[in-house]
Amino acid sequence: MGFWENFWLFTPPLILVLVGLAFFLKTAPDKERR
Amino acid sequence: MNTLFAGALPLALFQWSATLAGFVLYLAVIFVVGLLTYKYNKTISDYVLAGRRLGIWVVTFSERASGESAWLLLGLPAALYANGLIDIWVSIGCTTGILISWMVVAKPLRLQSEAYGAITLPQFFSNRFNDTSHVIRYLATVIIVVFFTFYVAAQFIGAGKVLNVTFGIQPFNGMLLGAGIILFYTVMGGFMAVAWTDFVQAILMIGTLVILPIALLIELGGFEQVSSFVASADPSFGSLTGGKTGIAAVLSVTSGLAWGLGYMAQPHLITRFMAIKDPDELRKGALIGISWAVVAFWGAMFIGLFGAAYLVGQTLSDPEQIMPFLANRLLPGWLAGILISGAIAAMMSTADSQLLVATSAVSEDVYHGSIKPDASERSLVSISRITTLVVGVVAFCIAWYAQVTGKDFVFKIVGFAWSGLGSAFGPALLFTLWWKKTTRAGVLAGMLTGSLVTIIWRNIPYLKSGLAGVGLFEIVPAFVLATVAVWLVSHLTVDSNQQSVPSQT
Repeated sequence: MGFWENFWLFTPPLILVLVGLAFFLKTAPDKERR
Repeated sequence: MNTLFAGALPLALFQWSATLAGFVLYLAVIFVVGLLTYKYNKTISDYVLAGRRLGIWVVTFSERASGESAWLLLGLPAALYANGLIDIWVSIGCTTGILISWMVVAKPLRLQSEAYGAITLPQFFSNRFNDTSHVIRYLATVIIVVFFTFYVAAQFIGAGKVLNVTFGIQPFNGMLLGAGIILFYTVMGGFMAVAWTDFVQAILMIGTLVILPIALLIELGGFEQVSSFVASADPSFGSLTGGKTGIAAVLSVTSGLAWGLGYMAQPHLITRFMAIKDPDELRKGALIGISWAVVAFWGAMFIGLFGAAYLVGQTLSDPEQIMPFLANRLLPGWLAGILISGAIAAMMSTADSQLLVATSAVSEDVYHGSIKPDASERSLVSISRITTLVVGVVAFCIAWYAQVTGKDFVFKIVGFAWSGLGSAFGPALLFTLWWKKTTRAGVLAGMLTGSLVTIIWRNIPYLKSGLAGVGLFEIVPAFVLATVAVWLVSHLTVDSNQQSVPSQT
């Protein structure tokens, strides 16, 4: 109860980590392109 | 539940010696790193940038440990404890700023700084715009040296405070101890010592910020206790706007979020990006860095929030003592010792990086750049070591003065430096990295506007406190106006620049 009621507290960090993960996956290193 | 001191006293003697042992062990590790890294400093590039040969984990952990100061482990828990949920906006702003900085600044800066042969930020601007007049270099150097001296002083005050809370050492002696250790390993090992001690310090910090909230949650018996505390507390505590409405609420939230703007161009942080061996690794850094940051910031907030629920009905004389107080109260002495060393680690890892940036501005940008361009690498390393020592001693004197006169508000001093550096270099750097039409005059205008607006805004009470009784953090007007200045002046000067190049040849 208490935790899930306050789950919104955790949404900003979750979004940020997902953006970080997407950036990591989407930016291919220059070496692989060569 | 025990009253505030009844439970702590019988254990005090044991805890004191155990925590002290943990702290001494930590100091021994740092000392050894200083000794081991001494021999790696053969050139000034080694001393101020570790010769661009660091791996991603060291770079990322160093950037994170340097980016978060005494404030993260003492100030942020205190803010949540004293003010409630309104300070969540600072955390959202900071973590977002960290992620954007890794995504937008890291790789282009690493590649372009090497291409222009720059090992410092002033040198990068200067070489990038072929600034033969050295105006950019001098202005950037003055901004860096002035703001960083205050910034390092704030870290020393933090060292005095935390050593006072934990070991009962007088604040002056604590400051002396903290400053002495930092100066020792920075002078000895330069960037290599700073980066590797940062690596250890980042692990300690995250350990503290994960273990302490969990211990608190177990002690409280679950999240329900926190919820019911927030429900029963003053309504402003659980309010996301601190109970404010209208324009006052907007200003508070904006000021909190605006902290994130500062990350884009703190010289002591973005220098880390320049030190990595393989630029492609920096994309990994974005993921590692943001993961560390969100765990650290939310951990710090939970220490304050859970601490408020745990200490309900009791008050701490100084809210900034909440983290060490709870560690001593809830955990076995040896563990409390390690976790409290995490707070000291946070200060040291920030102060050493800032010291080194101020050093590089003087030794590379002023001495090597203008006074003695043909100086040998060996003499440059010696000059750098002496500069580190001088800047450290001056910062110590400022910290001492602040302590004597009672102006020991770490958060406020840091806020001043944060805004000044972030707005002086942020827009200038972002435009330089991403907009080819940026001109030398545009960058100069941005630097001047960012730093001057910060200083002016802070010293005019009407702007500082505002109409609604809530001031707007000076980084907002400073960053916005500096952005306008870079863009506008670059537009106005772009034609004359293009004409002047062929006419000179």
